[in-house]
Amino acid sequence: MIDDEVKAVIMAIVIVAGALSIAQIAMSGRVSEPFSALGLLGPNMKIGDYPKTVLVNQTIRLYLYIDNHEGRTIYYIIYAKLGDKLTEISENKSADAPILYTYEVILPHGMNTTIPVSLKFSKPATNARLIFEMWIYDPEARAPRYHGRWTQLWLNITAPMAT
Amino acid sequence: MKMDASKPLYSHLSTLSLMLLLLLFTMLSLISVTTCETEEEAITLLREVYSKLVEAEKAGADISNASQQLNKALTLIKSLEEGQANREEALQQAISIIKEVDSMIPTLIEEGHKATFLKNLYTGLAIASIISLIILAYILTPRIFWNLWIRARKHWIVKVSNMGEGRPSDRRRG
Repeated sequence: MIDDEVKAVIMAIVIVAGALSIAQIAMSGRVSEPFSALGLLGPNMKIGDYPKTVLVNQTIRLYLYIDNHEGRTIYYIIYAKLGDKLTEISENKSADAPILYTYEVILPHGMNTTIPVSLKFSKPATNARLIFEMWIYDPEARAPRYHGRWTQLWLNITAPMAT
Repeated sequence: MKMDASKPLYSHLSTLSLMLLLLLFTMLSLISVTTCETEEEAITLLREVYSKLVEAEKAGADISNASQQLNKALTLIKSLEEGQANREEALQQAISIIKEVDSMIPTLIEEGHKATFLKNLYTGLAIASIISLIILAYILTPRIFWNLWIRARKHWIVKVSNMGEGRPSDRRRG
């Protein structure tokens, strides 16, 4: 009959192949690295052509790109805040700045959306930071929770010239 | 308190009209308060339904359609502006969508349980099949191999030579 070494090799190959197949079946449909993406697009729905200087009360049009790969349906809340160079923001701490606008969207896993945003500023400011923070509605806490994703746009908001 | 029947009717009219005015004013103020709070109430209701939907998703339900409906209602609520002509109508439409999604949830959970059961069953069957294949491969591979080996050499003629002289370089067992 067949040698013991050959039997052992066959057994090893079969076990490895079987283990890989079982792992594939068990892991199918699961998200190993869940994440959400937040992007700010310019007025042409592309990365670029961002406004740098805007007038007080002038409407600027931008787009927010939101992508859900969390493995579940998420209720996103995006806060548009106006800060400055001293405003602190990180993955763990949201900016302590006034909320200008709020955008909300519910996205199933694997879906993305692009939201048009129109913004106006009432006061002039130099080196202003238009911050977009991603929050999610936590169904267990029944309250919005900072999700650690944010993006920003540096702006100079100027008063209109007197005619 | 006894009403004086001897008094003429017009003397009560002023009191009656005052009461009616008060009632009307109260009703109008109530309506305005309700309209003002309804948008927030709609968001609160929507968030409650979303929480239920998340629970349904955890139970294995496919909530993609329901969540899209809920998002539609959310967009509708967020698009409402003060003084909008059809504001009330749009709000009622949004609330109606939310309630419709809410009514769908028990069915979704039930379907989710069934889907989870079937998925677990298929996973179990697949794993059992793989384990059976491993055992079968272990048992049958040597037989199949030798069967094929013999078939491939069935026309061979074996000639015995150098009987009794073992080759010193032969390291095979047996």
